[in-house]
Amino acid sequence: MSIKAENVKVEIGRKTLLEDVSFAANPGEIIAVLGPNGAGKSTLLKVLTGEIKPQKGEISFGDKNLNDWGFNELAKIRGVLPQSFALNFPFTVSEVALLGRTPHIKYSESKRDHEIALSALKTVEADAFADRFYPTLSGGERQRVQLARVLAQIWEKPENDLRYLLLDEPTASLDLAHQHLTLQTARNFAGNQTVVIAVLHDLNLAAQYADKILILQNGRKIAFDKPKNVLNSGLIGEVFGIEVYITKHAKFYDVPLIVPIGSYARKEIAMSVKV
Amino acid sequence: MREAKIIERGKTGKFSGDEVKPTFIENLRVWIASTNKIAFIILTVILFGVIATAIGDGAVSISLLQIIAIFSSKIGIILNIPFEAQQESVLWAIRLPRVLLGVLVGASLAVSGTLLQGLFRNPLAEPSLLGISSGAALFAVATIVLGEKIFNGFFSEYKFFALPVAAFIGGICTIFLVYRIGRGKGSIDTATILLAGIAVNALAGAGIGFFTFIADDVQLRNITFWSLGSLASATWQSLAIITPLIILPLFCLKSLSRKMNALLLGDAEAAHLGINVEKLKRKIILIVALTVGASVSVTGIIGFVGLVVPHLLRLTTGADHRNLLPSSAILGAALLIGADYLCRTIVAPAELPIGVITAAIGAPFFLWLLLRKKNEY
Repeated sequence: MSIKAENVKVEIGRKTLLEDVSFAANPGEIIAVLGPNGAGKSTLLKVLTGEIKPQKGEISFGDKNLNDWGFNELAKIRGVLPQSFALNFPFTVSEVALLGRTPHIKYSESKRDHEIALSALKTVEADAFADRFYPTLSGGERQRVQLARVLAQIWEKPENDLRYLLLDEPTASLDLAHQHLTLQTARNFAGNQTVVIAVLHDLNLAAQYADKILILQNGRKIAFDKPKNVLNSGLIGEVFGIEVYITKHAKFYDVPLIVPIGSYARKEIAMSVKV
Repeated sequence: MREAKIIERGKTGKFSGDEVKPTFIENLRVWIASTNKIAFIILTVILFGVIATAIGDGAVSISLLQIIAIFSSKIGIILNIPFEAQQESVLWAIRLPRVLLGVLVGASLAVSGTLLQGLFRNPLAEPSLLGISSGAALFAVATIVLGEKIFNGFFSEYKFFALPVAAFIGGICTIFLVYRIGRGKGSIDTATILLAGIAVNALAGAGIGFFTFIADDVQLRNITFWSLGSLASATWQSLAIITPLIILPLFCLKSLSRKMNALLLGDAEAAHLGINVEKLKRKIILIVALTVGASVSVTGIIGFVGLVVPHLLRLTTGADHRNLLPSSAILGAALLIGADYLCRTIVAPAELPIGVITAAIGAPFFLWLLLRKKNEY
């Protein structure tokens, strides 16, 4: 009952954004999608959500093709956290979280829906400002509230236990503690039969929390494997253009710890300046 | 599978951002939400107060008791309250249709403003922004100026119908034009549709300018009066034409309002919440076209009601469309009747165009919104 992408190809105009990308994400797994800017990470996520229709290839959620899912049917079990949050109307924080319950509500929300919204806010430590207006919050606070909304959407286990959580840079504007809180929350959901796919930038966060890492470069899949098999200095140097030193996490011995040394591009610039 | 390791925080391990106290407005909102429907009750009381004042006051004064007596005599119950026949005919033939027109037009303008602001996720959107009002005005002005030349003597008999029908057709045509342009390939792009609205507005403005230029003196007076808006043309006949066009779309709002909330998060986000976004947008546009087209056809362009009303309500009763849409309808009706009441009393026995009053209230409000901090409602 996994998410499968097969031979996905996306072209906009003459530019190829994704080329022949295939992978499968299983329940219980967190898949981190990594890659430099413009590698096609967000495009891949948008293909998975259905926002972008691929020119070639198939996407399936469980045993059904993405196109065969009904609008509301999939929304009940699939939460999507977008990259930007363009909400400038004075909803309160708890109202925003409650919006996550939309696919489950037929007429008006029940007491249970309110409880779920509050629990989701507590999970991301946003319950303290539940009554404040969303537009007055800081960037990181907004991001946590949006995460709470998405968690509220898939809070309850459906009959077949299956849920999907797609996160586009969920840690982008968060402080260190909340970056980890977010991924620990994702970890908890994965522990309950949820398929989690997250676009990340921080290699160490990916190393610590992801079960598998999908590395994209220029729209192509470069690697898809366990963190310790993927995160080596050669591959990172090639894809990200950065010199790194790889050591072991002091506490979790199977987690590689990536210590950046410097950008290769910088070195070239420094040298060309000298010449 | 790796176990999640939750790090225990100290009891004081809160973040500075969490300690910001809710503002007065935020507290007010929570209080209003907790009092369950109090906002509706207050708004309804205001509406009926304004209606009673507008019906009762004017050149012929009618007291509240007399109003009740006249109404009950119409359904066969004779109360022991004396009233004159003149009062009855003023109430029945002039004041009541005018107030009812105010209810319909005020409600539809305010609701359309709310819907458009939600649709565009832009708090500065307003029915006239899309060009519906000016499109309707262009068709109406064209009818005023060219009508008699085209239809000759024949036209004068149907003049009563020609103007509303033309304005209505103009409004519908404009919104479909803007919608077509904005729609592009498949999905409706908000920025494009807004710019299309601006372009259509400018074009309609040029057309109106041209017709104003070639109009004779009598036509010019008609154009001026009509383009500033007025409820004075209210008759039972015009009410009968526009009532179904406004009431029926407003009944569809209940099923839309929860989806409208999700739409404020963004098109993609609403789709992720299981909403057929394109279908929802089409419904919104159709409702706005019908209600605004019908309103403008009878009253002319009345600006700013659709801008002011949703803003006042969002800050107090909240941004939730389930409350916002019905309360917009009530406050919009009250505001328009109140403005109309001012129009016909402050320079009595003459009458100001209602657009003068709504613009005098609305334009400074619009400026205030613009000058506030960016991106805040």
